[in-house]
Amino acid sequence: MAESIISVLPHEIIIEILLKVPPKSLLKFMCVSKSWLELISSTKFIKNHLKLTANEKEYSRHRIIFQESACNFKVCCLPSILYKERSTDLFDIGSPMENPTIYTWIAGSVNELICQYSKIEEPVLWNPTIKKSKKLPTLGAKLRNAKLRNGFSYYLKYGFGYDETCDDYKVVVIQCIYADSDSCDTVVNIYSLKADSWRTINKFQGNFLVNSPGKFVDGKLYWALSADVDTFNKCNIISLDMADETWRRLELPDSYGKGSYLLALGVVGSHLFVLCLNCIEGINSDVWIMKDCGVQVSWTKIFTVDHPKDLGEFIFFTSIFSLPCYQSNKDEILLLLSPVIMTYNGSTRQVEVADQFEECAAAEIYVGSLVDPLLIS
Amino acid sequence: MSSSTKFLTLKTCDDKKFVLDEAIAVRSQTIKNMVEDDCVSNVIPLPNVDSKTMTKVIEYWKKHSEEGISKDMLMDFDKAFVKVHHSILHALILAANFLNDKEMLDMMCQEVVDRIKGKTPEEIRKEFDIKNDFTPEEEEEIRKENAWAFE
Repeated sequence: MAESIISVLPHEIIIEILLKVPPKSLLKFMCVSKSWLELISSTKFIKNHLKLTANEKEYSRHRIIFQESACNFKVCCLPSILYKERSTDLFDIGSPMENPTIYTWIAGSVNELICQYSKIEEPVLWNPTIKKSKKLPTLGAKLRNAKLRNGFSYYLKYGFGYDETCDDYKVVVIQCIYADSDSCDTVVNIYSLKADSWRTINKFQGNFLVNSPGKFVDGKLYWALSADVDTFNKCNIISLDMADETWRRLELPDSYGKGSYLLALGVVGSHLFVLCLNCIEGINSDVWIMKDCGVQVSWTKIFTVDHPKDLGEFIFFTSIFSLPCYQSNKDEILLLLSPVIMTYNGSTRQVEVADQFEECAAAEIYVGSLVDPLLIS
Repeated sequence: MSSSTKFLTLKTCDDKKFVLDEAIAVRSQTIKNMVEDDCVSNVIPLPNVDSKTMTKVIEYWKKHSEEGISKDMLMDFDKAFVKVHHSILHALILAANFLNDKEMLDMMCQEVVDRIKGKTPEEIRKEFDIKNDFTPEEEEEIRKENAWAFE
């Protein structure tokens, strides 16, 4: 019997293996040797690892992040909700904010990074998987000081996106300045992670208030707008291209009528989803998918969902999320309509409550990865 | 067996010969390319694979070529198949890589992943025969950076 070959695996197979290892183990493996450290920290490896993780069919590295009361965040694994193997456990992951006792919200997530903001601190880009975060430089000086003038006030709306052409993450802050009368104005600031600085960019035309957090879909950030300052009704949707920073206003689905009811935006795969409240009492909503083919946009109504009790008025704070559908037999859409999480099954056309969380609100979905916001430059 | 069945002879690095149905052997992309390019004489040499490893590979190929075998049965077979000493596992990976059988390679790599993901850096060095080229200070520095991962 021959001796077995002394088996030192070639470098490309070591890479193949390490690409499938979860992020936490990889952080430990960085101190195996200098060449492993170099490999695991390389941009190429981190990108390929993320790509593999994001496309993983069982969604085993997808996490749902929940906001609990004011300051704390919790996570659970996506499969535990989707496949209901057991009761869903939520785990504490704290907060990257210096002063997390003040209200903190999630502006959005791009794959692996989460953008958080609060009233008293600068926004933070956070990768909870590797517990790394980056505080953005102060925006204060870029904001128009509207509070000093009598009868004027302002609020800020955030969006978090990614510019593929420059491999750059961008945070957009829209300052909506309004008076008691119908007039309102906006100032739009954009932060580039690569440049690590804020710039003021062109605003969109018209007299609008932004009433949703931005949703990032396929290179563009989308917001819902309202033209009626008092009721937040008369909705429109605008988009900001992350690469050339141009604005565009979208045509809404025809049957949406005069656009007088509330809209909520979500993301499913690489498409924008819109939840349109069917009537002012808001007991159910139509869910539309938008396909953006450059010049033309087309809308398809996919289902109607009955709201959990009292949802209607909170619809602005809800989001629809998605799962890329790799397996046709698992053609499911996940809706995070706090306090419930619902699934829409594309093959049976059934909408079901998958789980319910009274104490905390499901806020975003992200993918566990090694992307370090402090190391992108 | 139909009369059209063709057989190939594979010769491992330790000079053992394996006679195998061509339809099974072409699970190896490497062998398939040789057959298609007509560069097959009587014997296909496999200079990178020993007979012990090749016996396992053929066991895998035959099981996966069985007609009417259920998915569950294959899963049970695969599960048992990968439960081998790590030196054999590594040899099988090298063989699957040389023979270019992606399905088998992926399965074996996944087994390595499952084995190593909970391990400490010391255990990893042992498993992969890697020399620690950090000074104790350098290693401490990297550990500190992600101390929580070691908890």
